[in-house]
Amino acid sequence: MTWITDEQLTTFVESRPFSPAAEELARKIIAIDPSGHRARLSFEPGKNHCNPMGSVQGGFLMAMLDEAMIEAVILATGAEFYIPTLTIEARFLRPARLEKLFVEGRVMRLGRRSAFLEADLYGADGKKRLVTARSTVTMTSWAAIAQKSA
Amino acid sequence: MSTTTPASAGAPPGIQSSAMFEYLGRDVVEMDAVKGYVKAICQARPEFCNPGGVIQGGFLTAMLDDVMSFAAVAHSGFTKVVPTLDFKASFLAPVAVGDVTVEGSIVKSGRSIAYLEGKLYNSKGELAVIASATTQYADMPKL
Repeated sequence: MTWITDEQLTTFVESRPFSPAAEELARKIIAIDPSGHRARLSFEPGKNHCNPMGSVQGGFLMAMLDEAMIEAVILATGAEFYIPTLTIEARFLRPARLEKLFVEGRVMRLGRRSAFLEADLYGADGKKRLVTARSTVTMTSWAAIAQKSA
Repeated sequence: MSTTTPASAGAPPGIQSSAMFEYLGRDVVEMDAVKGYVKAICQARPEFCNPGGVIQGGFLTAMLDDVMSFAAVAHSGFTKVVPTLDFKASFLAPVAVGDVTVEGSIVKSGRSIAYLEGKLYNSKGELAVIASATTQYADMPKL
């Protein structure tokens, strides 16, 4: 259960495929805990992601939480699985302003074919929790998908 | 007294256009303010894709949250906004780049709380996402 920010993080980050959606939210993986199955990410949303009230819209915050939870499972399983989210649930504790946001994603329980995940989103100070979320995901090996479509 | 055409008639300008609505390509095509029902088309753009080449789920929840909220805001006669307290979405089918159809409706609207539900259909017409939300009415700020 140790946070890693050195070359091992760089190797992990470089192994991740390009994601337009992650790019859109200026996602950065800033720390990983490979043995504890936790990932810390930062995001920089833009005006496009704000509702007319000027807060970051909840749906986009869920995109950030989802990203962090998926990275946590990847740390647990390696990259050989396709991991679609089945269900995600979020509770909006406080509004999120247009600023740098931090998310920690964790694996709560890893099964053979599915996993239960948790994540929390914090404001720029990294302390005040703004949103908390849970999700259920399923894991299918890329090899099995290739076999099915062959 | 249900409004049909133009779909968002009566909505103040701030509710009809903002950077986010442009971004999501949201276009209201049907609205029943009394029932609290809104149907809209949104554009699932290439920038919203995950590495698998389909739309990242969070961008779909953004579309749903927007359209579901619109149903409650319309129901209030555009006098209220509805900050979301909680939101749950289930992903039933993948969504590719293209136009999607989003429906938002009020399940139950009380004095201060509105329970909302939403459905998103992919460009093949398949039901792709179902969502439910708890929201709390607040006065519309002067925009």
